[in-house]
Amino acid sequence: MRDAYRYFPFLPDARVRAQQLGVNPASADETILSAVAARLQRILSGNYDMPLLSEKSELLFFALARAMLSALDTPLYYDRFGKFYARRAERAPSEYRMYLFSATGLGDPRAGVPLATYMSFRHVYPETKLYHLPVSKGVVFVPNHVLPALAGAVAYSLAVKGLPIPLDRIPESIRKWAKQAVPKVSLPRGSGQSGRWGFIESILKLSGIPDGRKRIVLYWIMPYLITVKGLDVDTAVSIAKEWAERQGAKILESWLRSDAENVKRKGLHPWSPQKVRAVSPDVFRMLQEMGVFQ
Amino acid sequence: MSELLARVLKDAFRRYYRSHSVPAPPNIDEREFGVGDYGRKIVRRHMSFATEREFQRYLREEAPLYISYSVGYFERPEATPMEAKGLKGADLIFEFDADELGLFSPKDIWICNHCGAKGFVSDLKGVRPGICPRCKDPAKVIMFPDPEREERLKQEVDTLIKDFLMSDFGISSREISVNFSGNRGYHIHVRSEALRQLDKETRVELTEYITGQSLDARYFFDVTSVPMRGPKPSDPGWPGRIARSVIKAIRSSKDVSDLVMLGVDPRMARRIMRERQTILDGILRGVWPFLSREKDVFASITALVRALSPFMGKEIDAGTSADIHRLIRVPGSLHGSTGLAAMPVSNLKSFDPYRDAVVLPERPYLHLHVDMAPEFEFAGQTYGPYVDKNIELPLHVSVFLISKGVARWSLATRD
Repeated sequence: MRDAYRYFPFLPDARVRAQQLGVNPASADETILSAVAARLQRILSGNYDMPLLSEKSELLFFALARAMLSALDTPLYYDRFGKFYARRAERAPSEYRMYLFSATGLGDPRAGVPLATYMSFRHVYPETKLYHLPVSKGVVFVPNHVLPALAGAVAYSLAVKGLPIPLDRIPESIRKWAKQAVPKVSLPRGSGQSGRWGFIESILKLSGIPDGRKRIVLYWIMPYLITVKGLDVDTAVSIAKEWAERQGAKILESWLRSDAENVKRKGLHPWSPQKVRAVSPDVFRMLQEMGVFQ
Repeated sequence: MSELLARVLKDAFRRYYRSHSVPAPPNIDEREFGVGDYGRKIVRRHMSFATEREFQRYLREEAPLYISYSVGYFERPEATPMEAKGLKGADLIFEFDADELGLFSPKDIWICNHCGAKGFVSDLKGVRPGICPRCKDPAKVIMFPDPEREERLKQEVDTLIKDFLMSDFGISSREISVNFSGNRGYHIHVRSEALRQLDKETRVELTEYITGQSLDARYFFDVTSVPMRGPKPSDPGWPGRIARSVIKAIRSSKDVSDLVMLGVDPRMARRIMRERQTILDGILRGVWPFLSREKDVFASITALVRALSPFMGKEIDAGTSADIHRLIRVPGSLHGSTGLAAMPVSNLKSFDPYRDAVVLPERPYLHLHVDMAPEFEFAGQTYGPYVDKNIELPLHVSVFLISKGVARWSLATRD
């Protein structure tokens, strides 16, 4: 089913098919990039009912859209992009849906899906309880009515997998078009920020943060200074100490050093704002009020 | 527990930790630890150890009365608050406590929380343990060693592992370990890479799968087919379990009343007993012609399965399985409430907690006043029955009785 790539341009061997069709994102001209940016903008605005293009166009759009999304590097946009393909998979004719399952190693889910895989997509069909399904030897036999939601969940995860693509692998010609894909009602990123960790730079410039300062060091400052910027432990500790003093917080140097060494030993990365919003809403809200996130 | 007893206990614990190496839990540098003292199971948490050596040195030096570790794996196990730890995943834990499973024994003692009345469970004629027969207020049940209960508890653990974890969930025996909790039950640890990332809701659902909570048998029947088609014994998961339960019930019932006792509607029970063999043959092929399409029929089937299934509608501690921030006793450490070791069990069938997990020494002997205790086996010796008796007993059994709240220590000791 070759034209399955029209529906699912994220399939594992889509790249091979794209080469066969002569799809070359790097050589896309201004007309194509402009059209891609416009279509992506509609998707990022929440318009998920786009007409299907030809197989070649869908493959080209997918590659270029992912590059533009990476340049924008905004988790909410990744989410909307994933939802677009999820919706497409949910509504695809059943033979296409079955092709999606077999091409992604799930085979025919009616013949069984690994328990862990099934449970990892569990949130999309909460009303179907596991005990009402046949389960044997770590395999769940999925009923027909769950298949569309399962297909959507698989499509979502594959469409956003590997995002963001490192910027140095995205040609400047594509990057400059990314801004055209930003929806009219744009997502605020905080003033003067750029790049994925721009907001941490903003936090480092702040003073007078009243609360949650240790958590900010744990979530962002120390991993950013050591893992992202590659600073040594001594330098990172002295920057964090100076920052803490500016906030009026008494954080022991031994505590900072212990955390810095832990970050270095384990190679910990800063948390995304979304993760902090989920686990420490108070800290997120406070920084939001201070203009770091809007 | 008095401070003096705690000191005696602490010395005994220290001797134990100095002569035994307690293995560190896997991925020790990603685990949070908590320790307890003098009747408080956790007085300090958010501790971490970078290496097994560091952990063992702590045990030798501090000899905590309780030491627990997180089922979760964290980026920074020592960080506070909890959300700052950076959860990376968690083991799946099932907790089996005899009291939560309602496994009471005639040897147990009840003490009323309100009027203070007490007695043996064996003397409760028709009254459920846990309710005072005098004032009907809640009563505390104190459990004593009973080989029959131990067997039933081990059977339930075995059923969970074989019928659910291995057979249904496909977890290999290498990923499962059984640990005696050091008190009233067992902890089953599942360390599976595939299941480590499951969130709280998903863990609750796995527990619900095991208990069959809210299971509706109607789901497995094709009510539009004539004759009605339903599960076969060879079907995977709950459908097969339902068919096997019904077959078992029919085969083991001598008359209609046996089926009615299991929750089957009397009219259906009469028909089943009348056409017994035909019905059994039909179920083996997944054909259930004796069922009508009425809702009550499926309620009968569900009731029957509930009566025969090991965990259906029972309390496996779902809170423990779902709580990814839970601290759980370190296998190999001592339990400060009983003096027994919370130990890994390699051969469940032959394991006897009141023989194999008794690791405290006999000496010193303590003078006790025992209010009430049945005859029971402990560390290969028979003790009791005691009623208001002054007696000198070895340290290990003394700690056990005092922790149960049925004995007091008078100061005289003998080495």
